[in-house]
Amino acid sequence: MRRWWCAGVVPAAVLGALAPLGLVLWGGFSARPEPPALEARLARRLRELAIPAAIRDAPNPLQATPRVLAAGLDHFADHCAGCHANDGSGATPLGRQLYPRAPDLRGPATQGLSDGALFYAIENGVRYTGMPGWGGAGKPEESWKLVAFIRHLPDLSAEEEARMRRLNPRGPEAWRELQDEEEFLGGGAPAPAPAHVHH
Amino acid sequence: MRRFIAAATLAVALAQPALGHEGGRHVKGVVKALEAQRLVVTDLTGQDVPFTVTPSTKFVRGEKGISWREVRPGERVVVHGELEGASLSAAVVMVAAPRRE
Repeated sequence: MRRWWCAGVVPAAVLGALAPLGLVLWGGFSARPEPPALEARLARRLRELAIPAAIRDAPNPLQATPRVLAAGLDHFADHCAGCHANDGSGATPLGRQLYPRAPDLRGPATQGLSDGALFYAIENGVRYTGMPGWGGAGKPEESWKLVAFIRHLPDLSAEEEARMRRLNPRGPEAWRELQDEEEFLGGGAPAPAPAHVHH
Repeated sequence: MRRFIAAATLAVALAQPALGHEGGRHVKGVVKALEAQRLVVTDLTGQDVPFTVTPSTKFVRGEKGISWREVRPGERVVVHGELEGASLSAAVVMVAAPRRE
């Protein structure tokens, strides 16, 4: 019996343990390729299993009132949109370079998660991804407001997105650019020659 | 082992510049042509910049969302575009609010 263990089970266990290391060495450390489908599925499944059932099954204690959604929108524009984009698509320079890519929060992979699973990811982050854990400040209601807002993302209006653009954090240069754009739209800078315009 | 750690550190360091790549462009100008799937803006240098219009392109006048059909040639716009392969896709088209005379 001991022979079987030595000949079969032990080498298989060692190989299984070394397989992830082999994948890393073979694939390198580059974050540029898309994660293989199998890896993405496994990681997603492991993440689901890692969330304590009591939290995973918890419903959002907050109603998605206009006030809660507005607070979630402000918070999302300030803290999350840098990677996730205002509309939750993940189409930002940062979100597109992460490994794995920032997910489209409007899609079924995210919208299909329970309120509790979303809350847990916001509070604790997701290890081996770019998602940081925002919990620990003793304000779980802020994360629940974000959960409500993430549920609202598929129905985000152009007005709400315009409001978010003003709330996005930016450096002095980007602020200047925003002011330039508003001045231009207000008629404050010369427009190009109208000769090029045809109806 | 030292070699492996050195190689790993180097790989992490070399991966950093990829984060610096920007994938978008902001264009100020006037609408030259607009169809359901295509927008051409004449920018401030007089160059025509073509954009792809997709179902997710948002048109905004002031703070209000509008349809692309409400935008007229000659109107001032600021377009936030995203590079999709070799072409620019319009993510947001901000249109000048009507001026009060």
